[in-house]
Amino acid sequence: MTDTLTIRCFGQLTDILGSARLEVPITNDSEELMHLLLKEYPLLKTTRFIVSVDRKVIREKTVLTPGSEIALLPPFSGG
Amino acid sequence: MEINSSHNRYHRQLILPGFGKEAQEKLRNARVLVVGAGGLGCPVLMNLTGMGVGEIGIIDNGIVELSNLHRQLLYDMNDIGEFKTTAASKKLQRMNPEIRISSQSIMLTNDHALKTLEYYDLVVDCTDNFPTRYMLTDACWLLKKPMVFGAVARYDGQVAVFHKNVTYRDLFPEPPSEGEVPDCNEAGVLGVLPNIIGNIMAAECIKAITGIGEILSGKLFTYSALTNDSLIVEINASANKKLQQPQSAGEFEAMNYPALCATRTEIEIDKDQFEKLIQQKDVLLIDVREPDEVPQLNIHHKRIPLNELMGMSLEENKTVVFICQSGKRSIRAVRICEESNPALAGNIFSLAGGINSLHEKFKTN
Repeated sequence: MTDTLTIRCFGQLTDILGSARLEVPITNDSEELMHLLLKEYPLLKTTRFIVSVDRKVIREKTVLTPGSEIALLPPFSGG
Repeated sequence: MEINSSHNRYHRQLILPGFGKEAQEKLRNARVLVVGAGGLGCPVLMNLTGMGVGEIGIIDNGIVELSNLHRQLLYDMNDIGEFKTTAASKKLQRMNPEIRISSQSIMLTNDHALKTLEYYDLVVDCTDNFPTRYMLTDACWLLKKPMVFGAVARYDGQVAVFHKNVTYRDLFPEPPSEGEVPDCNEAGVLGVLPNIIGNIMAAECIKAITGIGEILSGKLFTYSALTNDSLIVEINASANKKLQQPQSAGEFEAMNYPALCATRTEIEIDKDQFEKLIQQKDVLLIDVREPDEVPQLNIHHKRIPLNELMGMSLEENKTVVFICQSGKRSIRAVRICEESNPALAGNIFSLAGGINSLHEKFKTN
């Protein structure tokens, strides 16, 4: 058991979060987590991304447990 | 098709357990449309051609440029200035004369997309911009055509297969506006990256056509070339997307896709407004290009590259104008600064068209 969550991110989000992997204190659910991230990294508001929890894209508040796998995925433009 | 030569050409995959003659026959009977013949299009086209997809359509309105050659490995120095479709068709046909290749040097739009796509069994999204990408995903959804999607930025890429009821809009329901997500011209891309992603897309095409293995159906694969980190996430069809997605051919053709991704016009100023504004003394002009980019501005300004701008606080009571080469990074600069300087919101602008749009008197080479 661990009291932190690991967040993976890709693309331009790595600039904002400062790295492709990030440890944050555990929160009860995805909304609390986003609140915490936006407070810590306000530039997240300037860009678009989706959130996945345990390898599923989420659109609603999702309960998090220690070991929940979280990823922030931005859209990519290039081809 | 001559059986013996084909047998020889495809021998190494014909002897594969689980592939064989039956799968090869499916490839030969397949019609695949590749939209975009750039970084992703090149590897997709080369693989589909090599493996023997019977009919390949190519759509791209671009011309081969020197700055394409580090990643678009279908082209060489002799192709510079040539339509990508012409150069690609010629080479691909030389690689495999047993297949049919047709091409159109046009930009695919919603005026003719449905008619064009109809003929094909599978559509491959190798586009490099959001208006075309959203147009294409909506068209495929309306026609119930399976689509293999790919996209890249810098060191990272994505692949997904959309069919049945899941589309790109289930990931990102609405397109980002211009400047919100940097493109390859602005953000750069590592040459090998679109080749990795394009090869994975080609594998998805081959599996979708032949029925072997498992495809990324309704799943998004994301990959980072820097770390080899990768992730597959499931996408569920959202009820939400119905709100933005055209529900009929008529609605689709009436859409204005470029406008969906348009910039918030209130943050952009043109060169005339710019010339007036810089007469005022409380205007702070910031060039967000990298230090080595030319031409230089010869009027009073600060130079702060875009990636150093994050979190920087600016003087209050100033009007800030951001400038870059073409007016894209400067839009992103406005968003970033509005976030870290909420008091300045409404007083931060981007010069539309960038330094390219300015009179020569403002520039020094």
